[in-house]
Amino acid sequence: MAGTYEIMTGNEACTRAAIAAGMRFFAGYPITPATEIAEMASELLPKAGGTYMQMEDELASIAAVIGASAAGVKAMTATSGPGVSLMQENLGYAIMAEIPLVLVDCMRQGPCQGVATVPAQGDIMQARWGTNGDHPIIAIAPASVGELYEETIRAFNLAETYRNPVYILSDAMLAHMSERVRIPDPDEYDVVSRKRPTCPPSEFQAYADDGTGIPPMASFGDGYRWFVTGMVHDDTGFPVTNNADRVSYLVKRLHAKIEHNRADIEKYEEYKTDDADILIVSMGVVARSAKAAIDDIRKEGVKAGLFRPITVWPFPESRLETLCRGVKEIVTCEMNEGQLYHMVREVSGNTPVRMINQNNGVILSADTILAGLREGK
Amino acid sequence: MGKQHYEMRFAGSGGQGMMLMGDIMAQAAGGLDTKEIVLTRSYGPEARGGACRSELIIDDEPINYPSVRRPDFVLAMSQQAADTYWKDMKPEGIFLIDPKFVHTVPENVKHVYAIPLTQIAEDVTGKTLAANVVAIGAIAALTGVEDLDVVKRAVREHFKPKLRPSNDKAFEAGVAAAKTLMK
Repeated sequence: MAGTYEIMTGNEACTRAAIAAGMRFFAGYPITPATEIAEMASELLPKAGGTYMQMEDELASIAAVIGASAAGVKAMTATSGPGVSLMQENLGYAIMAEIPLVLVDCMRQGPCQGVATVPAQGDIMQARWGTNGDHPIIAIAPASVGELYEETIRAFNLAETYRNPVYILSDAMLAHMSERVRIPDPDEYDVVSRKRPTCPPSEFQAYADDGTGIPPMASFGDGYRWFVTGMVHDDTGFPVTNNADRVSYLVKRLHAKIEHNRADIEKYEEYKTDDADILIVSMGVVARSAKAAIDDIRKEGVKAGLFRPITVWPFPESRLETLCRGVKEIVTCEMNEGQLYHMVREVSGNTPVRMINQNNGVILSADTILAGLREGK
Repeated sequence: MGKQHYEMRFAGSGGQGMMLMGDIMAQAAGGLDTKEIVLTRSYGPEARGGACRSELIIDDEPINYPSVRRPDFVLAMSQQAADTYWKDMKPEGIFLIDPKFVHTVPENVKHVYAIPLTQIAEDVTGKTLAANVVAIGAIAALTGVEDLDVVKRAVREHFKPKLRPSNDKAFEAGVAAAKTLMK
C-alpha cells in the first residue's frame, strides 16, 4: 500500500490527522491524558497556517472552537472526561446552532477527576446524553493508533457533512501508546468541507432546509447575515418561542440529519462472527483484549466472535440485532459499570446478555476476559 | 534474525530512562525495520523516583492485545520491579537486572542475567546516565529480537551528533557484557 509508516502515539496521530483533515484552529486547556494534543497543535498549527489558542478553561475552549467554526475554519478541542463535563453547555449550543466541530475525549478513570493517568470507558453515556435535551450526536471510538488517525479524518468529514459536533472517544491508553502507523497519502482519503450557500446574501436564510435536511452554512464575515442562537429558531435563525410546530420541526430535523444517514455514519468491525455461539460486544482498546481472548477460547472449542462498534453513536444497532438473533449468549466487555451492556440489552431480544467489566483504571485484560468466558461455559 | 511475537518489559524508577529504552527498541523494530509494534507506558504522577515501566510488543503480524501478557524479556532496574514483574514471564524468558538496584533475585526465574549496567555506563562514559543505553546493547545481544546493527542505528539516530560517541561506547559495552555471560 502507498503511504508512509511512522511510530507515533495516539495523541500525535489524532493531532496530525486533524491537520490532514483541514483543522486550522485548536483551542484547549491542558488535562491529562489529552495534553499532548494541545502541545502538538501549538507546534504544528502555526506551520500549517492555522491558529492555536491556549484558553483559560474548558468552557472557553469549546466556545472559541464554535466561534472559529462559525467563521469558516475547521476546529477541534481535546480534553478528558472532567473537561468534557465542563464543555457540555456549549456543546449543546453547537448542536442547536449546527456548528461543525470535533471534540476529542481521552477518557480517564472517573467519576469527577478520578485518576488522571489511567484509562476508562466511562464517558460513553456522557457523550450521548451529556448536554440537556434530546439531541443528535456522533461519537467514534477507535481501537488503535492507526485507526485513530483514519477516524479523526472521518470525524472532521462527518462534522462538516452533517453540521454536528463529533466526538472522538480515545482513552488514556490509546492516547499514550505508540504503534506503527500507516500515514495515507492525501489522494487516498476525502477531505469534506461544509456545503456553502449559493444564493446571493440578500436571499440567504441561515436555517432554511435546501431539501437535504442540512442547510448550507455561511461563514461569519463573508457577507451573509446569520443570527446564531441556542434557542429554537426559525429559518433566519431568530428565536421562536410560542410555536409548537416549529419546535417539533427543528428537533426532528436535527435528529433526522443523523438518523437518516446512519448508513453513511455507522461503522463497526466484526471478528469471527460467522460461526459464533458467543458474541462479545466491546469497543476501543478493550476490544483488542477481547480479540485475543476469542483466539484463546476458540482453541478450547468455544466459538466466540466480536462485534466492535467503531461509531458508538449512532450505535450500530441494526446489524447488532441481527447478530444477536444468531448466537446463544452475548457478553459485553467494558471498562465501566455497563454502559454498552444497557445498549446491547435493547437489541438482544431473548438472547441472554452478561457483562465482563472492570472499572479500576487497569485495562481489562485478555486473561480476565478469557477467565470470564470460561466461567460462563 | 528476529522472532515472530516478542514481548518485552522495561521496569524501574522514574529518571532511569525506561521510557527511552522502549522508544529506541520500538524505533529499531518498527521504524528502521518493518515489524508491527505496540509500545505502552505506565508511570505515576512523579517525574522522578516513582515506579514506571515501558512495555513493547514486536510482531510480524498486526498486534491485537496491546499489553504484555507473557513477557519473553524483562529488565528490572529496581528491587520493586524485580519483585513484581517476573511472575507472568514465560518459563524460558530472559530476566535482566542491574545488581546495583536489585539485591534479591526471585528464586523461580530460570534465566537471570545480572549485568552492572550502571557501573559499566560510568566506566565507559564517565556518567551513570547512559545505563539505559548499556542496557539496550545488552538486551539486543541477549534477546536477538532485532539485528544488532539495526538497534545500534536506532540508538545513534536518537542522539545529537555530539552525544553519539559516548552512547556508541555504552551500547558496545552492553553488547560485550551480555556476550560474556552468554558464553
